[in-house]
This record gives sequence, structure tokens and C-alpha cells, in this order.
Amino acid sequence: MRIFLQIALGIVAAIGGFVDIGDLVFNTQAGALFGYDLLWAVAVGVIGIMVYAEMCGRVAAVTGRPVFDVIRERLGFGAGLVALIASQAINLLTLAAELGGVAFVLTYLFDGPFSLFVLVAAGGLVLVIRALPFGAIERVFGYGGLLLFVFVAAAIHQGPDWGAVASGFVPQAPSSLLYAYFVVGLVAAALMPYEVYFYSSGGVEERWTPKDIKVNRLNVAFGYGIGALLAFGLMMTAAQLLAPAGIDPNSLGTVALQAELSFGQTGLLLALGGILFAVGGAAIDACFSGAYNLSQFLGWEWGRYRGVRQAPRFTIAWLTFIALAVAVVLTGIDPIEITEYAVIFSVVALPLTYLPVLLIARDREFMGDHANGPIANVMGRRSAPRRRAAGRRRRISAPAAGPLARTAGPPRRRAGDPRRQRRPCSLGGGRGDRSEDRAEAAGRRAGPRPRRRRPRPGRREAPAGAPRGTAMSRDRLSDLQRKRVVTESGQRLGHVFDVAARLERPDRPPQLRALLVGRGGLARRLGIGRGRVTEVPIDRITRVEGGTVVVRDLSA
Amino acid sequence: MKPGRGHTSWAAATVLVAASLALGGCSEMSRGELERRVAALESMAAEGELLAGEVARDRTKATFVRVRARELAEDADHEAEKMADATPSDGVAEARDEAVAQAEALAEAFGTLQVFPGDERRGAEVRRALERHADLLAKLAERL
Repeated sequence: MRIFLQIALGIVAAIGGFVDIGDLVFNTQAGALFGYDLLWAVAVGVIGIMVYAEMCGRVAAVTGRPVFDVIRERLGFGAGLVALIASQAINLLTLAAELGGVAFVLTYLFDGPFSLFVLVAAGGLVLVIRALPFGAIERVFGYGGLLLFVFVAAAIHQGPDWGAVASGFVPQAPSSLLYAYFVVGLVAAALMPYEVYFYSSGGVEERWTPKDIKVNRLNVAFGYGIGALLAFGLMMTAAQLLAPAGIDPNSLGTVALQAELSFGQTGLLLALGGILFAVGGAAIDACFSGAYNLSQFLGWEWGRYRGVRQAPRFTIAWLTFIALAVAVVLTGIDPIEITEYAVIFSVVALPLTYLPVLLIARDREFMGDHANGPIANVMGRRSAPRRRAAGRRRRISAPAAGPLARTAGPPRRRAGDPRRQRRPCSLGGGRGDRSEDRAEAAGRRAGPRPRRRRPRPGRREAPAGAPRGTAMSRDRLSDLQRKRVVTESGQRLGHVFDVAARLERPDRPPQLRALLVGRGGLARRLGIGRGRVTEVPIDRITRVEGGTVVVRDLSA
Repeated sequence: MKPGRGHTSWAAATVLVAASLALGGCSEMSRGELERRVAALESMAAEGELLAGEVARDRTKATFVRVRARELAEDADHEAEKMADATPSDGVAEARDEAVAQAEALAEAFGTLQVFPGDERRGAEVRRALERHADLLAKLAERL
């Protein structure tokens, strides 16, 4: 029973991501227009999102780092910002579409003004997020979305031609432009990244450790497996009921009608209930994803468990997202059209979000035993164990996602707050040994790793290992990224791409050791090569002037 | 570039875009465009037929029927307006007029469903009416 409760996160992420308003209509349209022929495209999308979600969950469990932490670190600020903008556009458009979807369902159930129901949906969303604990949200929307199984039942009830269904899983060459459009659309819609942002950050919120990797896999297998089954059910039902009648569905009402045709009013109510939970869950996914991404990218305190006082900007972010989404829906744009725009933005966001996660998932310095192997880089499987010696020097990425101060100095401790007593592991957000935390915090839900407040101007803290009073007393390691490094005599050494640090004692923060400068630094940060890198010891830095780091001559 | 010239270009482009958008409603309707609109009407008629059938068998929920019928009626009206506004290309004027008439008839049938979402007898009548309109639309599509 416990395991079923644990995999709710995966189910809500999968149902929210796989059967959101766009997918509900898109899968139904595909079935109505092409029968079973596009089942394979859904399968391809499912495999893709499973691989990606498993990697994100594994990275979250091993390093305690959600997707946008990784993106900013690996891609740096510029490309990371592009990914952020595209992702936020997807999140906002998706949230707007889902709010519209909730309003549609409420309209079908209670027949009132659409705009009023948009406001009711937004208010309900705020209330649910504020009032329910994270676990309850997952379970209510995850398991409520399972009502959509009425479509699977309807598909079976209609007596499909199983031979034709099986042949639908065999990929076919595009027979028309419309067919190709649907193939691309179905795969892209399945790979929409917002669900993975939510899933990964949720894993960090739930304080996954490497012990939870099994739960992560179950989440992915069950959650996305169920999402895929529902998508197949929708497509098959449409192939059996709508295609023969020549109906081209473009409304949630047509989707729900299919269940009614099979099971009467009960079927209709189950379908509307399932759609309500699914699009509601997707709205929560998208809303939180927006706030997570922004907070992680900018290094704000974040987390659903942290509340308004501990993470005010995170709270303002998700409230702002909801307000903006309401404004978008109230312009009168069809919510289903909105999801099509979201798919366009996903084309920009997908490579920029998927690549950094793949790079970090295969990086043994971060992932240790749990890194991808060569085959796993394709299939997302864990490689053979490879132990790392304790205390071994770690290369730590310079463009760290959060404020430097949060990890560079010794963590503040508060009596009675076990979350404040973790052992920092890496500047990038490694989580150290959390088993003690778990025992100490038993029975108490905790947010992501604590982040110290950014020091006030004038009271900046130097990173561990940096000489006091030097220009290294900065807020972020990422401020150093791409800065030119020159010696006092004017010799150019290259640009900063990374830093090296040493973890000397497990109960102390890592000590900054050197700047990694030179052409090979970027390749090494991305984990794709071993170019030429100059290590500039941190104590050689004399000052930072604008875009230049001045160091003492290396020969001195 | 002289100061202000960029402004003028932008203004001209904006006027052109605005004019194109304003004249969009009066564009010429080709045979292909009419075919697509007739296909959309056929789809609406078929869905309405299924919906009315559920009303006739008392297997549905009144609020759902009312709202969905209203949506379908609005869509049919919208199609009728679009087709009526467009200038038909050579040889499709008669078909266009027939399609507009069918769209209006569909909107009326959906309107009946919207007003009487729980009336089984009227549901059956609307179903038969939509069946007829669907046949006529299918024949119209064949002629196109």
C-alpha cells in the first residue's frame, strides 16, 4: 500500500503531462482522423519522456538538484536564460490552457458563464495549493485523474480489432503532411518539459535520496505507463466512435461524449471528473513548474513546503503565474489553440533542457555509482557501480545555480531544525548524507535543501578558501563565468569556465581551490571532452575589475 | 537613413497589415476552402446527431447537452457568417449558398437541443433532422 502512495508523484506528473487538455483533444483527433495508425507515435513519446523523467528523478535523488539548477550550471547564464524564457512561456501557456480546460468542464457540469468559471478555477487552484499538503495534492489529482480509465474501458467495450490495434504500433512513413504533423505533435506533446520540471522539483521537495531511485523508477514506469494507457484509450475510442461518423473533434465536449456513447450518463460523469482532475493536475504541474524554474534559476528560496515566510518570492511567483494565466484565458483565445502555441515553444526549450540533464546524468563526478553508462545514455539505465573515494577532489562547476553564500560558508544551525544540519557536499547543490536528517526529521515534511539568505550588500561573505577582502567576496560563482583572466603582468590566460574545490572534511563546506581557465574549460564543464585547462589557484587572485579577473603571475 | 524614415516604413507596414486583416472577411472563397467548411459542417452534424441520440435515449446530462449544443450552434453560425461574407470564386456560388443554408439549419437544430436538453421526443426529432442535413451536406461535398 505504501508503495502505491509513494508513486503518486509520478502518476500526477504523468497524468498532468500526458493527458492535459491539449493531449486529450490531440489524441482524440489523431484517432478520429487516422484510426489506430498513430499509436506508435504515442509509444515513442512515452519512451522518450520515461527516459528523461527517470534521469531527472535520478539526478534529483543523487545530487538533490532539480532541472533548472542543472541547466544554469551546465549551460551558463545566457543559454540558460533562453531555456528559462522558452520554458516559462510553455508553463504560462499550458497553465492558461489548463485553467480554460477546468472552466470548460465546470461549464459542462453547471452551465454558467465561462469567464466566471475561469475565475473559480483560478481561485480553486490557489485554495488547493494553499490548503492541501503536497502529498494530498498528488494523491487527489493523481488518483482522481485515473477516472479517465473510462476511455480505456470504452475502447475495450467497443470491441476493437486487436490486429489493427497491434499494427498501429508499427511505425509508418508519413502518408501526408497532416499525418507528419500529427506524428511530430504527438511526440512533442508527450515530451513537454513542464511535467518533468514538476516531477524533478517534487522529488527534491520530498527529499529523495539514492535510496529512492527505485521509487523513481516505479514512478516513471507506473506513472507514464498509466499516462500512455490513457492516451492509447483516447485514441482507440476515437478511432472506433468518431472516425466512422466522420467527426473531427476540437472540443473537450466531444472527448467526453465518447464515454457517454459507451456508458451513458455514468460514463459522461466519469469522463468529466477524470478530465477535471487531469487538467487540474496539469494546471498545478505548470503553475509550480513556472515558480520552480524561476526560483531555481535565480537562486531564490523555493519549495512548496517552505511556505510564504520562508520562500516569499516562490509564493509570489506561482501566484503571479496564475494571475497571468487568467489574463491570457480571459482574452478569449481558445485554450486548445493555446496548447498548440505551447508546443511551438517546447521546440526551443526541449534541447536546452534535455541536454544539460543528460550531461549531468552521465557525469560520474556528480552521479558516482548512479551515472549513465554508454548504453544508458541512450536508454536511461544505470551503469555498473563505480565507487568514488571519500574526500576525493571534486570538480565543481563555477556557474553554480544559487547564491554562492548558500553553500560556501558553514551552514547556519538552528536548534530544533534538523534540516539546517546537513553536510554540504558540493557547491552545485550536493546533499551530503541525509540519512541522519531523515531520522531526525521523521514525521515532518521538509522542503528542498536549505538555502541561506543572500547577504546584504556590504556584508558579503567570501567563499570558503577565498582570501578575505579580495574581490572574490561575491554573491555568485556564476558571476565569474566567462570572465577574462589576466596576470598582473598582462598575460592573458583565457576565460573562467569552472572552478575546482576540495572537500576536506565531510562536516565542512568544500574549499574553493582554483579557477579552471582556458578553452577546454567549457568542454569539461559540459562533460564532453578534456581540452586544455589552466588551473589558477584561488589565492592568486588579486582583484576583479569588471569582466576581468587579475591574478598574480603564475611563475611568481 | 534619415530620421523618421523608419517610422514611416513601420506605419506603412502597420496600415498594410491592418488593411489585410480588415479585408480578410471579404476574401474570395475557393472550391477547396468551401470543401473544408462543408466538411466542418458535416462533422458538426454528425456530432449533433450522436448528442441528440443520447437525449432521445435519456442517457445524458441536461447541462452537458445544453452547453455542447450551444457551442455547436455558435460554430455553425460562425461558419455560416464566414461563408456568407466571402466572395465565391467561379462555379461555387450556388454550392456556397446551399452550404450557408445548411449551416443555418444546423444552428437552428442545435438551438432546439439547447432549449430542450431533457426532452426525449424533441431529441429524436433533432436527431432525424440532423441526419437529413448530414446527408445533404455529404451530397454537397460530393458535388464539390
